[in-house]
Amino acid sequence: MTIFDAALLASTVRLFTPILLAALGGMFTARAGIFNVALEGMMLVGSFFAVAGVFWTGNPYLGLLLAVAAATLVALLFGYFVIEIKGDAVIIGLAINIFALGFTTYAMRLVFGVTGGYYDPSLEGLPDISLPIIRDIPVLGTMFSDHSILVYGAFVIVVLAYLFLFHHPFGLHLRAVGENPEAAGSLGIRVKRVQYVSVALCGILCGLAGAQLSISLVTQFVEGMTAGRGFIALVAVMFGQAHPIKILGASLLFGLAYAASLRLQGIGIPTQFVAMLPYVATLVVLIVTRIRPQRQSVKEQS
Amino acid sequence: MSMSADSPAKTQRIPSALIPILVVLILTIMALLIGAVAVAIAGKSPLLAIEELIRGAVGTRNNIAATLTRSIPIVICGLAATVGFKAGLFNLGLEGQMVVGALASAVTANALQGLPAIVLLPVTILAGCAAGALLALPAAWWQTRFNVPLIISTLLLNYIAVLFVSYLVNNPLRDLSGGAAVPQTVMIPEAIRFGVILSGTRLHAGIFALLILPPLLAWIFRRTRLGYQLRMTGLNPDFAAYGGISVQRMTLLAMAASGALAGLAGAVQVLGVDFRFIDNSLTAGGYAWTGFIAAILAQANPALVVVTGLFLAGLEVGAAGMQRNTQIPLQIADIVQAGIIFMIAVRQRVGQWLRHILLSEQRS
Amino acid sequence: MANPVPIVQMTGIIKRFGQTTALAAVDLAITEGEVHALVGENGAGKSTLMHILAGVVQADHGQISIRGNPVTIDSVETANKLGIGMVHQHFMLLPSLTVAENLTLGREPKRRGFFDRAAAAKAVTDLGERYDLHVNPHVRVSELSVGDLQRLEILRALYRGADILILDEPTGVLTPQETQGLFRVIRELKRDGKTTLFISHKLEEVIEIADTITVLRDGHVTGKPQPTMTDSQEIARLMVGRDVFLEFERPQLTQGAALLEVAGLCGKGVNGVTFNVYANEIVGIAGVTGNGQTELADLIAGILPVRAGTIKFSGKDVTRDSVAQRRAASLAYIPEDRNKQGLAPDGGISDNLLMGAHSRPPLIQRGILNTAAIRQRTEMLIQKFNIKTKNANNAANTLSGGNAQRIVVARELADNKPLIVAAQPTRGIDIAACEFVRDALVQRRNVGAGVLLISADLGEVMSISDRILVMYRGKIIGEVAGLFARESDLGLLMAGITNVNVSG
Repeated sequence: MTIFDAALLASTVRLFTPILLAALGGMFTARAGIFNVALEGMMLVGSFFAVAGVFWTGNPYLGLLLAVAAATLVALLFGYFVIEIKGDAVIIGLAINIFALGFTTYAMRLVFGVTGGYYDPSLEGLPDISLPIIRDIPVLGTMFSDHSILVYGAFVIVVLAYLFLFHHPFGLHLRAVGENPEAAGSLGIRVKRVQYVSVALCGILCGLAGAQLSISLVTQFVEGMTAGRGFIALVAVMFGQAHPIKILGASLLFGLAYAASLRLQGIGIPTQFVAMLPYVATLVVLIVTRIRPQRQSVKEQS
Repeated sequence: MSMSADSPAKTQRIPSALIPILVVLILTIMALLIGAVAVAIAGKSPLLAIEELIRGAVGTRNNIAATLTRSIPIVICGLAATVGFKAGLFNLGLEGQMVVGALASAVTANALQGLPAIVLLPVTILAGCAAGALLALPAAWWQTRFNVPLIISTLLLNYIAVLFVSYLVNNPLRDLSGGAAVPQTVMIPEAIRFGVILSGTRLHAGIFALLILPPLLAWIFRRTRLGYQLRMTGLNPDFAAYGGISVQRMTLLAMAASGALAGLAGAVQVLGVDFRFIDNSLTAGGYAWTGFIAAILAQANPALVVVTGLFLAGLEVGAAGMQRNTQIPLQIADIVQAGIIFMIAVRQRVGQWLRHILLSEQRS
Repeated sequence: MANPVPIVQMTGIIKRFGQTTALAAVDLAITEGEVHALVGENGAGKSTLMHILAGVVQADHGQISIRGNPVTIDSVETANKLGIGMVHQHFMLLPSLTVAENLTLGREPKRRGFFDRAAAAKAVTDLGERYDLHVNPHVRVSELSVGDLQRLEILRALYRGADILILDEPTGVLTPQETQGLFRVIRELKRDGKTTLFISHKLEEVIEIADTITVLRDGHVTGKPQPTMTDSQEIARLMVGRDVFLEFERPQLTQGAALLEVAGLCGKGVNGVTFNVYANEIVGIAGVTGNGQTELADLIAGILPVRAGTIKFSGKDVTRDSVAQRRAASLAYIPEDRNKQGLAPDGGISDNLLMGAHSRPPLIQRGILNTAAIRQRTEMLIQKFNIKTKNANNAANTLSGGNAQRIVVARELADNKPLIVAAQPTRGIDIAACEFVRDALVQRRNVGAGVLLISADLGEVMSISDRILVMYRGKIIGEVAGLFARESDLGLLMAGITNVNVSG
């Protein structure tokens, strides 16, 4: 059985989407000078509320909306403590992650009445959308068609993010704030407002990422289901030097690691080793590329 | 020019040493309020929740013992985190280090069971420490050599270590006798198991670690050259390097020590509670993360870590009891713990505010 | 002749920061079109006063009128609208963005919602033409020279419509020739009707360029000497309230043994440097910051690795030695950035005083700290070096700049090491502390130490050095005997110009 085939690429595209979306969210906060380790928690909250939304309304798109709203709220909480209270971004980020884990598990008991995981086959997730012309192209067709709207959306967002960051005045302000908040402030840019916007954008994107995890392909919520993807997304941001196109590449790499690990499970390699693959891949990338995290400039404001 | 409008009698002198403790108290109360809100959202009475919480933690002799027993791995992990913090390092890999330490000690105890107990016990403990240190060292090395941030590498190693250990316990090291549902290793020899010190409970001799380790660590930090070097590295690595301290060496040493302590926590759990390595038992308990939070709350003060560790252990034990009696999910404890960390961020402001209100004004 | 309405009138300005009063009822009147210098030492209030005018901070009390109309300047935006623009001491530029982006940041020209790059570039060139301040709009700011950076800052203030320009310590990073270039620009702006406010503590320059001088001390105006009729001594006296020693008396001594020998040293920022420092002398290294001086100091101390060449302390080759080894034998090092390298700001004063000495008996015995001996030494140092504090365990960052520098100096001079490297030792500290530090270095030199003084303050280098070396682009390009040094010659060397006969 071949390991590399079109189906693997298709599952790569599907699996890399949460990482890409979260990484794009992380990119905005990184550009604003905030070292954001809370992607994990924001995504997890998004995952939970996506399922809860479908459960309550029966409509996956409303679930998506709820996921985005919840993740953004959590993101703003993070933003408040880091930007306004000027707490250490790492500690606050960890707190958000711990809070998200505890809260979603707590809420799962309250809402669904179960522990561990919730799965109801009758719940309708995001439908796979078949692209009319593309699906008929060999190889590329299998790879790029029949995905949820979030997958296509992710590619679109990459382009939008690029335009926004490098060709729009606000993107200029964002980059200025991250690089030298004192200078930006002296020019009349409202530094805190820019940072809050970046945090909100991050929340929205992480909400989308979480929803892709929990309500596309299968509709389910498992305790702690993000399983470190938020940190892998963070590494994608670092590896991609907070640039949308490079982040796309980095996320593809990590998505491939996830897809390969799924595929290898069928071959007789123990599941634990196979499950390690994405984490090992991430470590290898970090070691080989010797990248530095973006400078944290929140503390440097007066 | 006094800013206090109070009458002279009120502007008493409260020793400023008391302020950090008051701050911790206020922060904890605020965090508990967050928990109360979460309970109210669930439609239950917060007052009832608190009552059950306290009863579950310290209401009966057995409950107190349960709290104390649970505090052992939490405090030791908290001390592990503290060693890291003192050197300016965030060791988020405590869970993985604890797990490999536990497995290593379980395996060593069985592999060398021919040895007399008086030798086997320290060797077992050392094996646990060594395993934890060995897991932590690569992360330290990658940071000094390749700029790989510890925060991320230790976290990734967590996942990897837990998975690896799970594999070992599921396959080559599995105890196939007895037909247990959960994968586990063979039990360790009776001779080296920690004895129970309170009959009818699981409170074991490991509690003495809480009496020995904190003063030892405090002494090392305050009174030895190594402690000075570690502290200065933590306060300002550029300053330390300028003064002739090898920051690289300090990072490696601190991480090794931190990992060793986390490994010790695992070994102590095996020796005192489980008497074998049980897949998932250490991660499910969340001891390492609670220990980490205890260290943050204690501001990396070894003696204070015992206090915060006991408090958080009580919180968790009490929450479990609360859940049994009221059906309120025990994850409330996690929410309160997260709340505590948020409050810690506000600590500076709270401290300043307290100083402003309580201390009589001092001219600069 | 009737007095015209001042373009800027500040009356009764009071500003407090916590317990400190930065400005105590200051009045300032600026005539339109003049070059007005604000002079004072660190902490006198001149920057604060200008920050209030520029909208960066707000005064607690007082009135400001622009062209006779009372105004409230509550933000930088408001100040900009009133025609006030400030060029800060530390450049407020974004290195990764282009010149055009930096110029228009905050006031970007837009085309259909997106950033109009072409219009921004045009703005750069148009303004450049008008004021003879040329910079390439498409280049990244990280690639500009210091002089260009300053030009860009001024252009930006003009782009934002400034008629009143505030320049905060603009000449700190310039060679004497570049300073003349700046003065040309200021005169050009004056011809165009602009008003310039010039903050400086460089008294000779102030006398040269200003039409009016206001001297501040401790938040009060202490005098308005006429530039044409005053001199540095008088201004300094107004700044400090007493006579100031601008020249240091020091006995002529014969050179002793070579304490430091640097040969062909290559490393980061340093491209082949050779020189010696002997006992009983102070060797000053002059040069504009950024020509390798910082790196030279770190190379000698062992903090940066040597790529080629040798370093010897008293004849012993230390090129491969660690920092600890170099310090143990002979080196004391006062680093350029005290908060980054010289101190642990959150650490206690006692801990900060211990660094470097923490490995030797009697303070350490068999790995354990001797707290009694340490306490004794700490108290002695606090006394001897006049460190103002109530408690030796207070954090270093609770002290003022000058006080914190005393900790660094105390620690480094405590053990009477023969070789002292002092990099920018008087940066950002009050005059009393400056005098103290320079005096301490001269004292050590008199009793046999060798001092390597690296400073961007040419006056300082000239006032206490026995020999002066000039560093440019990582090399030593000239040496002058201290007694015969002329500022103009040194200025040429600092700008890299060597084909001129230098006296001495």
